Amino acid sequence: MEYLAKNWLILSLIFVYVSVCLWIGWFFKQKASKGVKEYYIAKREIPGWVVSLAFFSTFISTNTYIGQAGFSFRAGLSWAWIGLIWTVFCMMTWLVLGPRMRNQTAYLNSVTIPDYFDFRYKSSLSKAIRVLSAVVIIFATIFYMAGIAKGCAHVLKSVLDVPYEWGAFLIIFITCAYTVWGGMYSVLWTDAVQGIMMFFVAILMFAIPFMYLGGIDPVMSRVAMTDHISRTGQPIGDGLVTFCALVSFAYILGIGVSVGMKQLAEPRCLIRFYSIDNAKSMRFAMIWTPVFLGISMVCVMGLGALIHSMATPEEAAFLIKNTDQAVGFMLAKFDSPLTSGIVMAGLFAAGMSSLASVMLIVGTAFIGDIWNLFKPLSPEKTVTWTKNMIWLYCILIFVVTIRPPAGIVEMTAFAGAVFAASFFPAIFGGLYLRWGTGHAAFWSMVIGMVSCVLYREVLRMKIPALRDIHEIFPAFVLSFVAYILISLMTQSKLPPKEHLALVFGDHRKKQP
Amino acid sequence: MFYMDFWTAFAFVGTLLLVVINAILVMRMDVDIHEEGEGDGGKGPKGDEQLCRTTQA
Repeated sequence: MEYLAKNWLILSLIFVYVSVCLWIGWFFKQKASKGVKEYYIAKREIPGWVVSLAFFSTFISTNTYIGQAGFSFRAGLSWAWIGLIWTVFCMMTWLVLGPRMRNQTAYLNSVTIPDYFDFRYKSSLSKAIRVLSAVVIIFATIFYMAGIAKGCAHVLKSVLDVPYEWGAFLIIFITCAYTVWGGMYSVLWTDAVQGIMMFFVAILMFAIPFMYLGGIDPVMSRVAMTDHISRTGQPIGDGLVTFCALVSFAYILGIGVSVGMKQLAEPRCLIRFYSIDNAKSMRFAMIWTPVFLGISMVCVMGLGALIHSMATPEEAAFLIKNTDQAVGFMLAKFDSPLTSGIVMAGLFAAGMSSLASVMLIVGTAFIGDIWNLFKPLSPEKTVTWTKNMIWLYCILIFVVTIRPPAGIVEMTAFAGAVFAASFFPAIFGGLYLRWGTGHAAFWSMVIGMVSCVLYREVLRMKIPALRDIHEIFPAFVLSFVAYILISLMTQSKLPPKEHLALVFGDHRKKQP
Repeated sequence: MFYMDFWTAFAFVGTLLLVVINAILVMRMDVDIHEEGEGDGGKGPKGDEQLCRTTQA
C-alpha cells in the first residue's frame, strides 16, 4: 500500500500510456490482417504527419534520452554538435532517399528492404542479396533490441523498484502484443503518439534545470564557470561552454556520423517511406521530421552539461564517472512526481517506438524474405507466420536481455555501423544509378561487413592512433568504391531496359 | 555570447537554422509520388503474390 501511495501518479501515467498503445494495436487488428501489403506496410495509406513522427520516434530511443543526454555531463555543451550532425543526416535521408524510395518500391510492389534489393537488381545474385540482408537484419537486431530493453528495465528498477527481469518482460511483451495485433498500422500510429510524447518530454527535460534554479542566469552562470572536477581530475572551469574543451571533435564526429548514418541505411527508418500515401504527405514529412528531430536534440544533447548547475561538487564527482545516472539524478533532485511520471512515460515511449519497428522488420525479414523464398506461403499464411515469428523472436530477446553478453552496448553500436556500411551503397545505387548491378550490390554488402569487422578487431583496437576513427568511415568508403567498380565491371549483368524504365518511373515522366 | 563561445552556440543555433533552410528548400521542390491505384502501364508486378513467389515473372 505504501508503494502505491508513493508511486500512484507515475503508475497511473504509465498505465494510461500503455493502454493507449494496446488499444491502437487492437483497433487495427482486423484491418492489418487482411493481407501482406496491409500488415507489412499499411497499404501505403498513412498520412505524412504520422510517418514523420514515426520516423523521429523510431530513430531516437531511450539510449539518446538517457545515455547521450547524460554524456554531456562529461563532454559539455559541445555534445550538442551530435544533434546538429543527426539533423543533417535526417534532412539528407528525406531529401535524397524519401521520394525515390517511395516511388520505386511502389513500382516494384516491394514491401520489405531485402525484397527491394531482389526486385530492383533482378540479377542472378538478387536472391542472395535478399537473404544476406535479411540475415544481417535478424542478427543485428538482437543486440539493438536487448540494449533498449535493458535500458528501459533499468529505468523501471531505479524509479519504480520493479525487478529487472519483470521490467524486461513487460517492456518486450507489451510492445510485442500491439505490434503483432496491428502490424505496420499499429507500429506507425503508436510511433506517432510516442513521437508527440517524446517531443514534449525533450522540451520538459530541458526546462527542468531552469525551473529548479529559477531562471536562465542562475543556471548558465554556474555552467559557464564551475568548480567541479573533470574525469581526469582537472578543474572543469569554463570547459562546459568552451568548444571541444572536454571531448575531441574527432570523437563527436565519430559518434555523430556513425549513429546519424543509420537514418540512411537502417531498415527500421527506411521502411517508413513505404507507407506514405501521397505527395502532400511526403512534403509534410520532409519538412517536419528534421524539425521534430532538430528541436528535440537541441533540448536533449546539452542537458547533461546543464545538470552541473543542480549538482554539488560531491554529486558531480560521482556523476562524471556514471553519466547514465545524470538524468535520473536530475529528476530525483527536482522531486516532482508529476514531472517524473511524464518523463518516465516519454522514456518508455522512446524505447518502445524503436522496439516495435524492429520487431516487425525481423518478422517480415524471416518469413517474407527467407522462408517464402524456399517454401512459399499463401498471403494469409505469410501474415500468420510473421506474427508467430515476432512472438518467438521476442522470447529470444527476453532471454538475451536477462542474460546480456559482455559489451552489449559496443555490439549495438557496431551493428549500426555494419548496416550503414553494407546497406547504403546498394540502396543509393538502386535509387540513383541505372548502371548499378546486382553483383555490385551483393559484393559491396559483403565488403562493407567484412571491412567493418576487420578494421575494428584488427586495426582500431590495436593501433592507438586509430582509436578515434570509427569503423564506419573506412568500411563505408570501401563498400561504396566496391559498388562503383564492380558495377562498371559487370555491365553485362544489368537487368533489361524495360525493367529499368519501370524502376526509374519513365512511364510517369512528363513529355517535353 | 549566450554564456558560451561561438562554436558551442553554433551547435544550437545552427541546428535550428538548418531546419528552417530545409523547410524552404522542400517548399520550393517538386515532389511527385506514385499513389496507390495509379497505373504502372501494366508493367509492374501485381499484388501480394509478388512476395510469395520465388521468382518475378
